[in-house]
Amino acid sequence: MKKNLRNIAVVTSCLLSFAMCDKIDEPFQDPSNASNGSKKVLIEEFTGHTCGNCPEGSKVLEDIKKVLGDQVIVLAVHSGSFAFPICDQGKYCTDFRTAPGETYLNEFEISSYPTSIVNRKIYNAKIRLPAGDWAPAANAFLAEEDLVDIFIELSLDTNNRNISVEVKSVPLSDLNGNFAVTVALAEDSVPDWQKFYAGILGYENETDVDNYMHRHVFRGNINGNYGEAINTSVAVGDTIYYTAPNTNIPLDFNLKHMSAIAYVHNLDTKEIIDVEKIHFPN
Amino acid sequence: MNGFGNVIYSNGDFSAGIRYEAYLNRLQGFPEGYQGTGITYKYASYKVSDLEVTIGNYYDQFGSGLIFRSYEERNLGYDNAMDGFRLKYKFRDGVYAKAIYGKQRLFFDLGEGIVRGGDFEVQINEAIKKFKDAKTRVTIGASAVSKYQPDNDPIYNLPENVLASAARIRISKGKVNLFGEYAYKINDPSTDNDFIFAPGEALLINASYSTKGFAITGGFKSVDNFSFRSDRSETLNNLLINYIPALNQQHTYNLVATLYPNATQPIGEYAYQGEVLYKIGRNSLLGGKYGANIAVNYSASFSSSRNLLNDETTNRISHTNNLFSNGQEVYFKDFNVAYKRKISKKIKGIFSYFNLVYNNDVLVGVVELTQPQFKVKGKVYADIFVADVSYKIKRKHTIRFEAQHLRTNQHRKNWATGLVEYTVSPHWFFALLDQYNYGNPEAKQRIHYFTASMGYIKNANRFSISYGRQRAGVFCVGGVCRNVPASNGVTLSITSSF
Repeated sequence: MKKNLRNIAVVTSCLLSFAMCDKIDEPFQDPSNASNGSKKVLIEEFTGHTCGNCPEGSKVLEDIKKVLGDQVIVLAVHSGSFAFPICDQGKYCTDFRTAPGETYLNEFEISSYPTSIVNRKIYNAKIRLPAGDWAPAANAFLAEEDLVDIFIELSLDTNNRNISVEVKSVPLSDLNGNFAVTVALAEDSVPDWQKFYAGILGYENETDVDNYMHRHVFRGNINGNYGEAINTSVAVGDTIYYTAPNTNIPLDFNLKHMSAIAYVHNLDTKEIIDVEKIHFPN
Repeated sequence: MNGFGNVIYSNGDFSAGIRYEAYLNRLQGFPEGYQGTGITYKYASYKVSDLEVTIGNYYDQFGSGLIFRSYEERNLGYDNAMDGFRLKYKFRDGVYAKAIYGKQRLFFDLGEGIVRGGDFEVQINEAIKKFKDAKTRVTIGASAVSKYQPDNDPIYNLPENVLASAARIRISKGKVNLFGEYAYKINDPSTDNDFIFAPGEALLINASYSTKGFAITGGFKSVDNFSFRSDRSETLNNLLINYIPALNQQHTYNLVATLYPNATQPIGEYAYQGEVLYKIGRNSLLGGKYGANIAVNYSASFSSSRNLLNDETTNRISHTNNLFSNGQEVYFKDFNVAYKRKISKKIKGIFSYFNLVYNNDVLVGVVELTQPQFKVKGKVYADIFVADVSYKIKRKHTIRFEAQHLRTNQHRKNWATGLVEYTVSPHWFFALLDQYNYGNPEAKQRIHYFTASMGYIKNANRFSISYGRQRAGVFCVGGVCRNVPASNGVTLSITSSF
């Protein structure tokens, strides 16, 4: 009998110790808990117009921006086979792919969509992050030390659609290693076809949606796939000047929706240490 | 190149082992996390009277696996081995308990989350003397699994501890067997369910009756919001804690198994299956001189029956579910009949017919990215006939032929497959397979997918080599898709145990 009682006690205490569960009544975080320093992060989302799950990813990015605001900068990198311009009866004819986008796709071995890389940095032992990790990764990186401040000056000649960009980087602590500045172009709100699989954002069956607003579309870099090296052996607080090559903006890009994104990254680890974005002047 | 080797040492009540794996480079179609080499499985285990302790890696499951199943499926690159410790204890005859604690394998790493759980099982007839000789055999079991993962999300208030629990019963009496398991999980917002806070439920029931020459089985499954992973943001086959079986027959014939495969839907599914096996006596019209077997199988799966709450911006419960009714959408249907008969002393034949309904919008088994002319919207309806005949040439020498035909008006339309296999038992086999998409609406896409293979088996060593052309495809699980490119290649496989 005594042995039986002991057995029951063992089982009960075992079960109780496992019975750990958190019932949540208030699903949303208080937005004031989010980081609000000067640091910014870059989320590069690998997507494509025939990726029927990707609109879900875009929605996650918008939710993140609602909470973390301009501290999060997004580039939707249309690349790989889901971005192939299949041109099926007038649908999916636009080629959103870019040379650097294809390079990054291979470099980071992206094969599942939607997947993002955040600051090209490892979060939870992973570099390729599924949608559920984007917000926590961005939030975690925002809480890290800000190593550099970036300021962008951009002038636009609307007549010949030419831009000149100067990037000023101010190290906030010693930067050891090889660093570069990359200047990317993004176009927001590009209406075009997008596939939705059944069950995605309320679509009951697989649907081809016309005039879907493609947000934060990566339009390529103006200074190469991995930018240009900068000399960071300056005193903390000094300014590193970098002038990007003058560039003509293709006619089919809407100047009113264009912006330039500059980021400083470590050429050895590939990690992005800070990023800034500027809209083209109206 | 994929390779692995196990080394296991055992001595009395003690055993220990390791597994080394190498992916240099991984085979086409394997998840990208498999790259490099390493010791991926290591354990030590000992038994002291009624207690068994395992430290390191182990595979295990509670009940049918609805809340916990740790296993590997090497061909798919699936392995969610636990890394931690496990206790198994026998209180007395028929009364058993298990406790597990650890993290799960994720390629060459471990997932972030911690999985802990316990299972308790009583085999009534063993445990209670009075029922020892009762004709009705009853086993009951209960289990609970809780996972822990920190919440770093700036948007949602996520549960760091998520508990799933399950209860099961198995009753058998003579020719009748019944099994049922019900599982419940509290709020578990994840990438899989788009971060909704609804609880999850799953119910699995199987029943069978068998007697000489006749058997009937039936299965029922109803699942809602029951994807369970130790990392809430993971996708594909990564870090799954539980296992929900697909309730349809597992096919082996090439055209039936590979073109339109069913996939279980942990987010919500209502499914049933029934099967009848009948042995036709000798010297009858259908039975012939030697008798014959006939099997009829039907399975169907649907969306779950949900009542939407439209509370996305407030409580995010999303919906309520009725386990006992099906939703409107058909996911999969499979009706098949197999007739197996020995025709003469030397000839045996299996003749089968399959009728499939495949909802490509949901199962997304066929996505044609670069050839939109073949893309599938909605459902594929396919009829497949298979004749499988083997002829015994002489002692130890057997030749087997398969002729398969698939007819459909959707997708790439009609296919034919032929197989010739020559076996010299017990050591050698040679096989030629051709999958031919002869009905393709585009002439240049009428491609032969040809595979030649041979193998040698002796004792515990097995060598096989095959050369063939692999179809391109997209592999999708739970809302995330991966491309597998078309390829030509040689596969050499060597398996050896000593």
